[in-house]
Amino acid sequence: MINCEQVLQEYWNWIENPDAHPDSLPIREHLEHCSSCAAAGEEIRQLRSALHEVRDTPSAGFEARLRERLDAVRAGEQETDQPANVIRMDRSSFWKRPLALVATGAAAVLLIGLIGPDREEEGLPGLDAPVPGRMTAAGVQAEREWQVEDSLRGPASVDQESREDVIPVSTAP
Amino acid sequence: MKNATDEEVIARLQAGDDAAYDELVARYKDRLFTFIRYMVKERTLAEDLLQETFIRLWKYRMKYREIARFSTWIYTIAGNLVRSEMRRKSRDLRVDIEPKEGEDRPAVELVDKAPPVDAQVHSRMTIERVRAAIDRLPEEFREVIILRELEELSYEEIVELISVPLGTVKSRINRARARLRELLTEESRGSRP
Repeated sequence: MINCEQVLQEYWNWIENPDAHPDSLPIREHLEHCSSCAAAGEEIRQLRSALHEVRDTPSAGFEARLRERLDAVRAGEQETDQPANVIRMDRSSFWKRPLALVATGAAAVLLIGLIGPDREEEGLPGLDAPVPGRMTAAGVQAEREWQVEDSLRGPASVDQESREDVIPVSTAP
Repeated sequence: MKNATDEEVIARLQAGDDAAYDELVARYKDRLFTFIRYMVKERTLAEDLLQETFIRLWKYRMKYREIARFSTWIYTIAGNLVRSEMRRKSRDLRVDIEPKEGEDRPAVELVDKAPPVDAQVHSRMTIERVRAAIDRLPEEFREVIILRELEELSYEEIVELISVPLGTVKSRINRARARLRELLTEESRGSRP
């Protein structure tokens, strides 16, 4: 025998799919005889209906503004001839991160020590041969690579602590 | 393209069909806006975050692989932006919650503008009252109510999105629904918790 508390607990789940609910028959029978639960049930139906009506939409012109911003992003991609899956460093935010400065400097020092003058440039136009004190092509590449968000993991494995700026992917290529 | 699945459309975008991007924006604009708006509770901010979501869709379109549903992927992008924003707000929040001189109510009203007296005779489930009640839900309840009741995601999709077990999702949704009803009942009686 199902009681009022159980009916109200299950009512919402029941109305989502009455025939599939394991207690469908007891709930129906209870509602036929309990006006209090029937009234509460009707209230739940109204709330459920209202919830479907409170959806919101962005303001007019949203898509035009998005298109404007997207055009700027695409123009930036074309300017640097970067493939779409390479993440450009945001220099304004980069310089605000002291740890990034330390990491980049350390990487540059390490690479300058490791790389000789004969190392082939990695297809990065406009860069001179490595000289002491100047960042090499590999250093530039390392500088870019650290910026790649560590989100090359599936959505289920996104770390709570590192969720900021994490973009989920199904697999890394 | 209207009849194509989301996964087919993103595949076309990855192949270079820019019209596929517009199709995905059209499909997800309102759904994602509803989700973001109710999580951050500000329309202007929600539009900014929605815009950023779609910019990231463009930037990282080649990273999507059809192991997860596209809807899960894009909701996760939006959810991450929402959580980043809410962490930022909680760090930066400097709100005077003490009543100002001459007032007997807190300086910060937590949503919920009571309807005029003559409107109280209408059904308790007016849209504005329901919106206000949603805004008053604790974050973890608000999230699941939005995803289940407004976005109509399945339990399994919600499990993927918020990374908690199925039993926890179901329990949380039941508690959220009960809390929502309580808030509406309390508001209609003119009292607050």
